[in-house]
Amino acid sequence: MSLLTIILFVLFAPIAAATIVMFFGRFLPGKGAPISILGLFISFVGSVWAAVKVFGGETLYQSFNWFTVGGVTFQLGFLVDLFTVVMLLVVSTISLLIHIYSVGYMKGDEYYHRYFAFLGLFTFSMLGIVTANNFAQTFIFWELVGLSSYFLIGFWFQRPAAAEAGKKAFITNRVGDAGFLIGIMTIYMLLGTLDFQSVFSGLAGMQQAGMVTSGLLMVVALGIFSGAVGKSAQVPLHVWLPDAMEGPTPVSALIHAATMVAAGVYLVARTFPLFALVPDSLTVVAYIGGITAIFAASIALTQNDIKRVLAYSTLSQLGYMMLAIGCASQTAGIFHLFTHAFFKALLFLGAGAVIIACHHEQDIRSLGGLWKRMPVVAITFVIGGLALAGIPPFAGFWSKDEILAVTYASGDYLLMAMGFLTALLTGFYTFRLIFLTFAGEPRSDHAAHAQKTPWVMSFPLVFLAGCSVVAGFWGIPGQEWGFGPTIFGSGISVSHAIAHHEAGINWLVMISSIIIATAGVLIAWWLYGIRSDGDEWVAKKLKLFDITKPLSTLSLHKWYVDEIYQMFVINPVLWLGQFFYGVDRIVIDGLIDGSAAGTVLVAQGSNAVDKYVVDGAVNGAGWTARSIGSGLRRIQTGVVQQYLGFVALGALGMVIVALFLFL
Amino acid sequence: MSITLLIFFAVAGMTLLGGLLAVVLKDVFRAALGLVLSLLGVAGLYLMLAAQFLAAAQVLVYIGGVAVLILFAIMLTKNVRSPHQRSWGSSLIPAALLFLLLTPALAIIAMQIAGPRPLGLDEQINYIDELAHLLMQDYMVPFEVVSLVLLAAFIGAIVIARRKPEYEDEGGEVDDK
Amino acid sequence: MNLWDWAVEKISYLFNYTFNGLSPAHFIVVAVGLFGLGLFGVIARRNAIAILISIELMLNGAALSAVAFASAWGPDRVLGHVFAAFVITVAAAEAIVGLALVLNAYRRFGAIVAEKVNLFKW
Repeated sequence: MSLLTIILFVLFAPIAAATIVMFFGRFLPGKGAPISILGLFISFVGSVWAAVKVFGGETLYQSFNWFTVGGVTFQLGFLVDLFTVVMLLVVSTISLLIHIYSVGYMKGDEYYHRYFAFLGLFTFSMLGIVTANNFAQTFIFWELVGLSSYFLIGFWFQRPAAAEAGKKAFITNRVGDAGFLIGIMTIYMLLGTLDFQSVFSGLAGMQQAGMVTSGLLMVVALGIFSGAVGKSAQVPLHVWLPDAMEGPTPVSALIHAATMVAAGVYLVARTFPLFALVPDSLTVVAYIGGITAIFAASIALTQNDIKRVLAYSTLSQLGYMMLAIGCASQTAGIFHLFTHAFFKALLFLGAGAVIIACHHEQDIRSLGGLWKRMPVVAITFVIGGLALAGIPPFAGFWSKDEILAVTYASGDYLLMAMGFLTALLTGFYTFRLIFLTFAGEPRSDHAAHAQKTPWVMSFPLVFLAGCSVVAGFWGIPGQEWGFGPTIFGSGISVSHAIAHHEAGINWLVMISSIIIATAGVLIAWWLYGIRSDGDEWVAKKLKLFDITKPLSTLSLHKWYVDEIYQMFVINPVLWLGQFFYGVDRIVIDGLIDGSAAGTVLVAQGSNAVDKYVVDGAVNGAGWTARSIGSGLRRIQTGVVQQYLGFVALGALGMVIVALFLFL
Repeated sequence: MSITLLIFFAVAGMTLLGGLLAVVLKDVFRAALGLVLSLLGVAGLYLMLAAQFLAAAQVLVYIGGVAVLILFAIMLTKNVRSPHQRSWGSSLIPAALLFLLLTPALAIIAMQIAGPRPLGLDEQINYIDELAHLLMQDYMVPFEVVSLVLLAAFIGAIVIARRKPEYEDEGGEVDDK
Repeated sequence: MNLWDWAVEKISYLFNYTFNGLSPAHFIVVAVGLFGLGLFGVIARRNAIAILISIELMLNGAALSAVAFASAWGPDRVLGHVFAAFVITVAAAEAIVGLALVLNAYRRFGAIVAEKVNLFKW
């Protein structure tokens, strides 16, 4: 079976399953879930097979003509190289696990089958993004992903908060996509093609030949980046991610931990040659990533909802990825994406298990002491937390260390400071969460009577925990078989940071990162593990300094970004809409009424014309005939002599005529 | 100015004078007498035109018959006239105008047609013979027909003028009384 | 040539013509005059018999004009005479019938005023 065929299976199995389940799921046994899982399994197997082939040296870059409109041909194409395969593996594996997990989590839900259909749709869209070989196709699947996320986030749409969250996600994404579209259209305008290879080489050629300004290339790069900003929830388009926690937890795991948000990072990594043409764009990417990382981490410090903490954590880690790519290292960024997918999914699914077990209690202040009642969940969750914090030998350590090394190598100390500070905060908030949730004594009835977790949910947790341990070893620096050289050493994307990589291990950075991460964990342990009233103690202590209270408020209220947006962006737009509605009503309706009145007027005029002119003519003709007649009939007097007189008159006339003729 | 001319003017003058009297005089009886004068004058003119037979016929038929008849009719209807009646109709002025316009026009036309020629009367020709020839040969049929006309006129007149006492309807109907 | 000269020329010609020997024109003038007088009488007179008289005048005029024309042409010089003969005859017939009608009308209306007989009036 050719690579192309495999890829087609990988792509279309989930959507086929989704279609079947959407329409017939209600009537099938298990409400369609088995079919979805089967589809995903096919996709997973296909991904593995494809990976085997690609690691064996095969690549695929093939385009098909789809349709032609007005002299322009649209193509479909597939790009499968090592990078693609890695992404395929991540997406299909995690999606499959989440499908299995959802069987337990969504049990008894009214729209069970629709859920699985949407999951399938989402997976299909995500796979489409990573296998596309031209911008148009990427954009199509990009939008599809946004659409699926809208469906999934707003799945419990009867809850207004959920519906709002779905809307917010889609719209915020759309704003980013507008920029993305500008970038794409600029490329098309410059080159007339959207195919990746043609674009990369074409733009490079144009720049060398001086045919295109750096400004324009910057527009292209930033345009594409804005799409990534939206999808990956970077500042300032991050506002949808926390609210997206309104969806079911498996959805959060799939979308926000592992895949959808990763799409943005994938896009920037894939189009890295473009960014490389304009180094300043990379600086923009790095700084936005760094700012996002710190910003999100600072908010995560004070959140009290399990899922919110994890959401902001995701934001922060995404910032890390962007930061890495901005420092010209696709390797570091994608590697972190790779590891993060596993441990963040693990954390989300673990949180989901906790939520279900405690009857949908999500406030960590009401939890506690769960390690006794849910040991499996607790252990896997701790493993995930260690990976997140960046403690060796867990996966997160290797990727985060790589990122920090790259920031160091870039020479930009501000970025490096951002990275390290974020690491500290990460360790802290992660274990604050862990200690508050699992350690100590239960602080509520829900927690005290936590239920057992079904095996469909525990199995994915364990599996992911295993991945969180081993995945990192692939990226041990300095190795030839490492992530960087393997994935990015050949093929389409070339990493500039391989040079750094091959330079060997940066011991300074590595030791520093370990120290800082551990420090964060220990502080959390002291505050929340040992003391049971960490938050109040901190609050009391900080009141002495009096300056940090506002900071924590800011942190708690997410730096009021949402409120700012509402006031300065959303309200003016709504007002404008109302204004135009009024205009429409007055002008358009006025026109219509006016035209109606005008028509009536014309009709009346026509009627008048008809009455006076036409009838007048007709009547006038009659009147004329009658008056002439009544005038003429007086000649008929009955007096014969007069008749003779007229005859004589006629004769006279003839005579006179004759006279003139003869004379 | 020859004798012929003088005689002509006298006779012509008599004719026209008679005609004038016939149409102008208020008294119908006198108007009839004027007619008689005019008829005599015409007879004389016929003589001057070598139409001797016609002159005789004119005197015999017209004057002896028609004029006498008219006089009889006048006398039969004379009692009706009242002094207060107008003798002229409402069409007097138009009639006068008509006369004044028509007569010269007709005269001019007729004279144009006739052309400026002398009276071509040949003394050698016997016009009565010629007339007789025409009447009895070429115009035989009209000659006989006209006698029928006279017959019809006689009968009709008798029928119309019959006295029918206590007769309320319109006249002209043949009724056996 | 102005109007005066034209008039003088015409009138002198006329005089010459009239007084220098007879011609058909002389008789025609008389005939036409009779006809015109008769027409005037027919239209203007109120008495029915007066109207009949005027009719006779007209007929006479016609007959005279026929004879006058006859003298002017050949070869059938007497055709006019034939015509005049017939006119006389028919005139007589017509006078008979007309007077019978007048008598009848007189008996009915008590008057013979032409204007009163206006049954044709609208």
